Amino acid sequence: MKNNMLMDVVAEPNADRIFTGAAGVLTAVVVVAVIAVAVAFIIRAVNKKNKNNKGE
Amino acid sequence: MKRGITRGILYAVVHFSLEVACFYFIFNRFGQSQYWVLFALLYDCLAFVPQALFGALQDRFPRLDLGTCGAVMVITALLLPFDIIAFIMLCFGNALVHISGAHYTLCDVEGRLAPSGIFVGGGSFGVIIGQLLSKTELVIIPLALMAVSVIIICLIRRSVSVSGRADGIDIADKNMPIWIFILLMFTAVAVRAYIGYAIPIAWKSSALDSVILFFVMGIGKMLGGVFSDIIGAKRTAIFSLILSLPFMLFGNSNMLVSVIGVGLFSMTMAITLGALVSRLSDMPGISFGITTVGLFIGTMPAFFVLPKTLLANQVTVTLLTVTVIIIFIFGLKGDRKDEK
Repeated sequence: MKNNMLMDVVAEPNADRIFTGAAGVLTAVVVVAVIAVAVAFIIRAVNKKNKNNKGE
Repeated sequence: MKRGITRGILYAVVHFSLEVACFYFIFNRFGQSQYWVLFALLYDCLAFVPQALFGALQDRFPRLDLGTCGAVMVITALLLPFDIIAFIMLCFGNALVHISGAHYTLCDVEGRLAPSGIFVGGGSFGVIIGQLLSKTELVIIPLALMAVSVIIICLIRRSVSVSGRADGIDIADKNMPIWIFILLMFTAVAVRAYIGYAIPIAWKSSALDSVILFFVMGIGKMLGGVFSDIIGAKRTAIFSLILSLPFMLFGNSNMLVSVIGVGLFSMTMAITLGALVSRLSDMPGISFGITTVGLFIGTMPAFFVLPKTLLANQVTVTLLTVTVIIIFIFGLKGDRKDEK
């Protein structure tokens, strides 16, 4: 019983930390992915325009 | 010209309402969350960065009504009880309305920057009003403002048919290779965004102080566009930045001195956008998107690293402002008539 209570006390902050860490990692992944897609899109669009201009 | 200004003012009202709604939502729903920082970072990311994609979409299909679509998404987000779904809708709705504003204030404005400056400036007022409102449960106010915005966007759409090209805006140095130019303007936006967080403002202690700060920022952004049209973009950019430095550096404990610096510093907002549009005149949406990606990239370090002492603040602000000035010296075209 004593052990269980101790486990509860110890486990809660750890779980919290793991959850916060996971949320942080998830946020970082989303941020990097969104930036990568946007930058790729910008590069593609500007290159396309450059090619068109050279063609003209 | 007159129509461009009218569009700028109307879209400033829309931008104001949008920011009130978004900041009301974010602070009201997540302000007390232990994950507040993550939500703030995600909001900046999902609202700013996709504007490049939506901008490309708007450039490709100029008649597409992204503004109404975005405004309706924001209204839906305010009403939805599911926080995460509402949050994503809010971010994308925000991005769509921004792109619509850029589209209508950059295209067919006879080369003027005032309309886009006025549009961009409108948002600053909304940021602080939304934050203050978020402490209440008056969701009806952002909802009413967004309903008015839908009407404004529909009215503009009915009365103006823009081409999707931002011809006539011509403030950039066209001899520079395009990728170097884009990279320089991107850096200018990102660095400026970071400086915004590093300006020493120990005087800001009350809600009224914050309101004054954000209002001055908004007026500065608006005046930047107006002055660019009157005295030239390069002059406005360089003089406003040089003049802003002493006020920003030594206004730490004096509100009046500080807000003069912040106002002057904010004036370059429309100029970086105008410079990009000058080189990418058939891609105003993408140009706007490049500036918003730059804004996010510049904001991101502020979540993790900010100068801790006044001296560190002053050194950071000085070095970074000088960097932006140098970028403008090389990236913008001279304002003298013989150089045009």
